[in-house]
Amino acid sequence: MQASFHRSITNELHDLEKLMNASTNFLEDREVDAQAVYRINLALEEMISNVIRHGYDDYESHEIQVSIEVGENEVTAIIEDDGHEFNPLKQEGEANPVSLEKSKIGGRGIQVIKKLLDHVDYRRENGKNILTIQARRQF
Amino acid sequence: MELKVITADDAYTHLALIGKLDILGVGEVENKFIGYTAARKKSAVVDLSGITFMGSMGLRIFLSAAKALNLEKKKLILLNPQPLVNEVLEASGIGDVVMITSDTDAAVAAAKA
Repeated sequence: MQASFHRSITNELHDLEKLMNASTNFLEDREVDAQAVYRINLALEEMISNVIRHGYDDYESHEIQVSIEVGENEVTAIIEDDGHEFNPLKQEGEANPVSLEKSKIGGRGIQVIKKLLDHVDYRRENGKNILTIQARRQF
Repeated sequence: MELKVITADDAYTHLALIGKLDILGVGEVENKFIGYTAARKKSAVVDLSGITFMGSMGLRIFLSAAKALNLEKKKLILLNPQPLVNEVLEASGIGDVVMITSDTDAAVAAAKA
């Protein structure tokens, strides 16, 4: 059974939905823990939806490449896009709210990903954003 | 994605969300959810036991509704999230300002208070 998964999607939210369904099937077939499947999909949704919504100035179709590798102890996903240079690790994210009045509605996704994923790494290479995320395979 | 209305009386609103609360799922129920929470201006219990996935857009609609209700001195109470959904709620810090419980009686009592 292949331990790696490669997909190219366009910058459409419906494509992201299909990707998440395919990644779920791929990871479940390889008996990856449900918590790791959830965390990887959470990161794919957050990071790729950010690219789709904020990454491009034009209305052209763009390709976003996604690969997932299942290792002995961890699952690694790599997302590559040709959108604006954007390092999500430099985003502060919202601090835990102290009151409803003062809490901001957005900005929690990055904070959640940083807390729940074991490793997140960003690099810019050949005009592309390359984001690597990693979760433990078993909990 | 489905939104079920369990109770919508003068005292409070009790809803249940069922399905995947991802970006597309949020789009399917958002208007109805706002209608039964922020627009209705009654405290609301939202049963999350049927939610199998929730991303940051889900957090966003809960926080948005809670803020709107708070302006009316009303509450949003999240009931019975599955463990993986609860993990996201905890990591977001939303539990510091929105009640999250697995006790239906306590949730309804808080909504009616």
